[in-house]
Amino acid sequence: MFVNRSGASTSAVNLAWVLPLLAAASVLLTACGQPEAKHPTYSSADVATVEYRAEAAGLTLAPDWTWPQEPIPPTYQGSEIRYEKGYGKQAADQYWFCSWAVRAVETRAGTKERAEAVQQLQTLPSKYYFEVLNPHSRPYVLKELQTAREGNLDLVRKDIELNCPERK
Amino acid sequence: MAIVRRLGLTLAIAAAGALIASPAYAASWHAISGTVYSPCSGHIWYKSTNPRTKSGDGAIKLQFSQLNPGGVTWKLIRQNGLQLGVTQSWAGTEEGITRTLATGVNGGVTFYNMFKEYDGQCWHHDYSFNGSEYY
Repeated sequence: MFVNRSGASTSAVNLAWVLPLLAAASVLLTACGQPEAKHPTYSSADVATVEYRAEAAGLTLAPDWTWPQEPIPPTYQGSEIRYEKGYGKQAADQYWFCSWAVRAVETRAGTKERAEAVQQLQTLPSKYYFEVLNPHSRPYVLKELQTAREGNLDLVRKDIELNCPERK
Repeated sequence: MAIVRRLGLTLAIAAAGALIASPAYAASWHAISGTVYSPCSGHIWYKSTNPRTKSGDGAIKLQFSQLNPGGVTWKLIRQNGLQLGVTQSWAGTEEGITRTLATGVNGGVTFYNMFKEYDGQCWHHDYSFNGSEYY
C-alpha cells in the first residue's frame, strides 16, 4: 500500500486513509460536545432511570408494593439535575429495602411474613446501595440489621419514618 | 465523579470500629472532594451517588480546603427527595469558611450531596474541590 505509484493512485490511497480518519475525528468531536461524553461520570435522569430499571429487574418487592413510574426526577425546583453514575442503581436498592422494612413492622402481616421480611433486610449488605453507602454510615445500618435480627425493630421503624417513601 | 472519599481503607476501618464502639454514633468531620463541571454549568445540579447517614442529632456543616474561582453552591437532599436544610454558596476565595447546611437533623437521616458551580460564568474549566463535611 505504501509503494509509490502514479499520482492518481497515490491520491486514491491517501483518501482511503484520510477519509476514515476524518470520519473518526468527526465522531469524536461530536461526542465531546455531548454532556455525557464530556462528563462521563454524570448522566441525565433518563440514563439514571435505565440504571434503576435494570437493578429493579433483579429485585423482588414486598407484597403490595410496586415500582414507581418516574423514580428519578429530571429537575429540582426547575433546575436540571445530572446524576452520578450508579445513582439509579442504588436508588432501586433503597426502594426495595423500604418495601421490606415496612413489611417487617406491619401489624397486619403475620409473624411468619414479618420474619421473612427481616430476612430480606439482612441481604442489604450484598446490594449496590451498601457498596456506595459512605463507609462511616455503614455501622449504623449494620446495627439496624443486627437489632432487627434479634427481634428489635425500633431502628427499622425509625429508618422508615426518616427515610422511606410512601408505599406505591 | 462527584464525591470521592479520600480516606484510605485502614482509616475507614478504624473509623468504623470507633463508631461500633460508640453507641451514640457521634457526628464528626469527613473528607469530601469532587469536580465542578464548567463552563456555563451554573444552572445544572450534580447529585452524588453516595448516601450518607447522619450520626447523632444536630447540624450538618461544610467547609472547603481547596476551591476554584467559580466557587460552589451546595444543598442536601433527603432520601425521600426533599431538601434537607438550606442551600449555601462559597465563592472561590472562601476556603476555610464553615457554613451550616442544616440544623436539628435527626440521627439516622440519610441524605445525598448535590452541588453546582456558584458563579455560572463561562470562562472556567472543570475544577476540583476538597473539603470536609460534618454529619
